[in-house]
Amino acid sequence: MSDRKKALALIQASLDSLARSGTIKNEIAVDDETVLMGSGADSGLDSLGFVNFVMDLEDRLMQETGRDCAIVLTDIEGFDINSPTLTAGILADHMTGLTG
Amino acid sequence: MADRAPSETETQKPVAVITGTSRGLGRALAEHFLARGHAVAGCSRGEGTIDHEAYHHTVVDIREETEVQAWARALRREFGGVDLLIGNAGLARSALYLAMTPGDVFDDFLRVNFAGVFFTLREFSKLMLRRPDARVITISSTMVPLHQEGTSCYAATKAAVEEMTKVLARELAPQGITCNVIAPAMMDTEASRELAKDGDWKERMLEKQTIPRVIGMDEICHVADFFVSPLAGAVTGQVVYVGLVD
Repeated sequence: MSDRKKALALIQASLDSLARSGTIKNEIAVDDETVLMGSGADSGLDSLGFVNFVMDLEDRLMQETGRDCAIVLTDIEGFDINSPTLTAGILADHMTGLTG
Repeated sequence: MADRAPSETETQKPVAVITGTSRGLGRALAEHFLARGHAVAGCSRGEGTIDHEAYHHTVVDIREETEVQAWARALRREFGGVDLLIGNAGLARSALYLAMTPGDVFDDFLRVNFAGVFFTLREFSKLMLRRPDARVITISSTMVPLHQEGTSCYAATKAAVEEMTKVLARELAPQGITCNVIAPAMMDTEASRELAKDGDWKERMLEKQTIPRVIGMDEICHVADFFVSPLAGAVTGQVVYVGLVD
């Protein structure tokens, strides 16, 4: 996926879907600074919710690109497993690189 | 990778993933769940030995993280999700007293019985999140509570599997997924026949069991049926020792 906006749109669509299914309580308007995971997270995702989110996002990426896409947290530049904070912007950059 | 794509009928069946299906208990469990109408995806380090229209074999070495990941991705594409996971593949072989056990034997047990089960649980539990009433079963052994001499590596890795399953049971409970352990006493497998070549090993082991006889594969399948049944939805994080009072 070469379009970063499209990556952010997929993140938005995924979070909307999780909100509809009740996995997260409120709908979230995604921008670059939205914290998906870590302290002060805006997403309302607990650990299992985050796994659900990643799985849903991988499915959407696969539909979009027609290819296998695995989001591996430790492969994301700027993500520190010892101090894990992930913003939508960082994830969108990773998705763009992953599929571009 | 899997030998063929599932048919439309198969994709409507509950999907069971079972490791170590080329022989022994894994093969018996695969045949059992095939007979109960599941599509079964099995693996082993060698070619498959089950010929059934709803059986899909993949050559996987569960010690290798990337192989387990690739297998899980392929099954995700083919089936979409998993309803039942049985982490059966394991190493059981003659071992010496701890003081005499070589490091490579210790490492083999760790890689197959512990790391392999960890990779399997991690990759496939993710594919179960959207399947209501999904079930995870792992296989331990009565050697854990028996603390039998010569099983320091084997029993320690099986104890680790029990603990890992209990933690996973807590983590997946909000999704309605149960995780339980079956720990059989002596069964008639290639591994136990190999061990039985060592003098009176079989008799000594049977003496330690509360039910002092060889446990049938069908008896283990029966316990698995219980864990899989819809009415067992509140039974999670449990270890059933078959043939032994712990």
